[in-house]
Amino acid sequence: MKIKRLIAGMILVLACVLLIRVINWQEPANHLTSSQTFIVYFASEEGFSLVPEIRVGEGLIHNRLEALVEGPRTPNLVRVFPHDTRIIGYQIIDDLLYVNFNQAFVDNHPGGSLGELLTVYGLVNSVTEDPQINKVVILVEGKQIPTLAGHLDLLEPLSRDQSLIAKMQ
Amino acid sequence: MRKSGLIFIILLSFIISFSFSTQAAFNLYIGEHLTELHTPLKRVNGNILVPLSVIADYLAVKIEMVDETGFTMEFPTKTITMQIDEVNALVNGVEQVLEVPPMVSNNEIMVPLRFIADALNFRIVFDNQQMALVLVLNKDMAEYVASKLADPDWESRPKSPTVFTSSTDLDEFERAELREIVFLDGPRSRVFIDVQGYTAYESVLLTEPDRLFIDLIGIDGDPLPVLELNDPIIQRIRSSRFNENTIRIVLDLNEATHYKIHRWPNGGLEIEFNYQIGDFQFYRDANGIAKLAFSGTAQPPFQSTSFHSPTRLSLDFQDTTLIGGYKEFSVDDSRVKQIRVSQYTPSVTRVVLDLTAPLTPVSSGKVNDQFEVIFFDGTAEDYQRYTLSQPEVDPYIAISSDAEEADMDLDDSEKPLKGRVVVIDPGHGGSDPGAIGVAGTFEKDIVLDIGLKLGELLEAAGARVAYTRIDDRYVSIFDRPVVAEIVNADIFISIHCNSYEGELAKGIETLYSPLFLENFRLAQIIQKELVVELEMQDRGLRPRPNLHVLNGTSMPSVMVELGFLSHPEEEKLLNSSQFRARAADALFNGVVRYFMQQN
Repeated sequence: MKIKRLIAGMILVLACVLLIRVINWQEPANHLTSSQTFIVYFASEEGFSLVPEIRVGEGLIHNRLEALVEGPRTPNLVRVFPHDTRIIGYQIIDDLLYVNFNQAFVDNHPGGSLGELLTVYGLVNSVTEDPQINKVVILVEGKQIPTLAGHLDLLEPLSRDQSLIAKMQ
Repeated sequence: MRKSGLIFIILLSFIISFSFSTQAAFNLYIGEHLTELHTPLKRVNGNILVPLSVIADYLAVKIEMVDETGFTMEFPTKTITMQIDEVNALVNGVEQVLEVPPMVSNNEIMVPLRFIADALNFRIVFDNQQMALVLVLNKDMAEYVASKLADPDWESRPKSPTVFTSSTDLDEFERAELREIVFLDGPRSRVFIDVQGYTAYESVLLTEPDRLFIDLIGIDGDPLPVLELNDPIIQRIRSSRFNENTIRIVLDLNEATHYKIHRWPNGGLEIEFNYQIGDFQFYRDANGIAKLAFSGTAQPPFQSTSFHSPTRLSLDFQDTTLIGGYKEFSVDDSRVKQIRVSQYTPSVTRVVLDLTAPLTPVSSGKVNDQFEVIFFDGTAEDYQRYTLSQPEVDPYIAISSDAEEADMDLDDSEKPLKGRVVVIDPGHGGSDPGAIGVAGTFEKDIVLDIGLKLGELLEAAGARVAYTRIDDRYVSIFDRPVVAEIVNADIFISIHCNSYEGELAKGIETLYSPLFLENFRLAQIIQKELVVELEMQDRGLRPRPNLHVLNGTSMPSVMVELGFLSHPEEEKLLNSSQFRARAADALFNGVVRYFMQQN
């Protein structure tokens, strides 16, 4: 138990260090910088927060969504999308991202306010890492849904919620 | 499904990555010469763009502007034509697609280096120690450049050539070591080559038979055993020592497919193959629903964009290789005139539907090995209106005791909650079971029981209680706060149980909207009562600015999460009537304490 915590802590510190690096990369475009990475968020084991995971590749919306569907590669992190979730398509209109999920996104959701928050803001916080995206609208089979698990209002476009992200020390 | 006409296609692809710690700008060597960069190198989507003038000066290439944006580069063996901001290029008159178009930066035309290297069979190497990018020329080109540089009449001669020597000294670097090759599970075919240390690499995709070579350069270690795979794209992975410097990894493929290689921060390489798609067909099913069917190794998501004048819809399937090449076909349909399918960039297949009236992709499916995109006849707004047109339920308001009844109570002056109005909101209900426990317990049943028990206690203490539901029925989250507004409640208590995929999650939390301090005060008191009474893990107070039932109420409100149905022991507790009575007691004590402290 303690060891697990320790490992989780170390991963967090590592993620933190990498994150600082990522931030440092925002330097003039004339500098060729390191291999491209992007961040997606998964849930912590006890569900207290969202934890960043670094992925290698271009931070395209497509890659972020695919990473969320795939689930975390970091040990002890928990996937935020329900099992068998598929993304049918997505659309970007101005700073708004519409993501169209299959029915499994709702049907396989385990419920609970915690699960709902981490699913929805795991998505929203991951895609709003892209400066082009400001808000997110969730669609299921093309339709807007009033709520995913009975706690959040999904009829309004969703903005980033920084408070759910694990505090770095 | 086999590609026809292509006997020997080599897609040569160099991916240059850079070590993590570097912050410095990079130098560019062309052959042996360190280039003088007036405009710095530019990096776009993993491609490096170099100033056209550098190509002209250091490769002795004649540049001619064809028109305002088009230009040609005349190499001894090849002529390449490009256009600013256009992805289509001509190599000796043959059309090719660029991953990144040439662009203008600092009044200089910038051109993609990798494309030029591929077309002319040059290598790009990254020298990690000198932090330099090296364009390694082939023998003919090196001789040509040398002869040009020796020619005193050649005006573009570099002023002070610096000789670069490191490109042949790759083995002087600290040698990397191959550790493992892993097939990564996921939505598409991915392979991870675990390498300790930095290795340069080259990759070549070959057809007939289809395979991908990845040469790891400057690497130690033994080749690894053959890995047989059951994957739509990769058959097996072999490795062998190609020479003392190089290990060659061969991925035998079912079909040559475009790929990307990413360098991991720790030195490993990740190879990511495109999805394959093809055989696009448009039809309407028996119900008249428009569908676009296609075959593929998996169903990739697409980015859709609507255009006006002329009306059209594009679907960009990311990270896909189009099997069968460009296709254009007309459609006999009331809304669709024509469909064009093309490999828009090496990693994007673009399907354009030329329309006479708007069409919106809403869903997808799989029928007999074929994938389908399902459309709605109309705009996205039409579709939302269409689906939201019927309200699902009527709000239901149950007020247990009205004022007159309460007034008739005899000893009511003694009652601590006299005159207080409390709204109890048992979560979920009806068609929405809420969280479902490991053993099958429904959240809606547990929270209704606790809610009704709490209501009895509050009424007995003189409060007026209203419920958002008193039986197993669906009430939307939009109607719940309305109940509290109608009865002008003093406080609003929403009762829930939690659930989570992580097995460790357990305990009690109280959620509140952080907009008003009073919410926090109520939440603090209730959470404390719950934790003390129920002796469960204290997950603390959770400010939740996004919960609709808490935001929609104008009076102090909280949402209690009384344990996790996903935790087997807590589910057992929640199933015991005694525990639920204690939970109701704790909530009751919290409410009483809250009102007492308010006075």
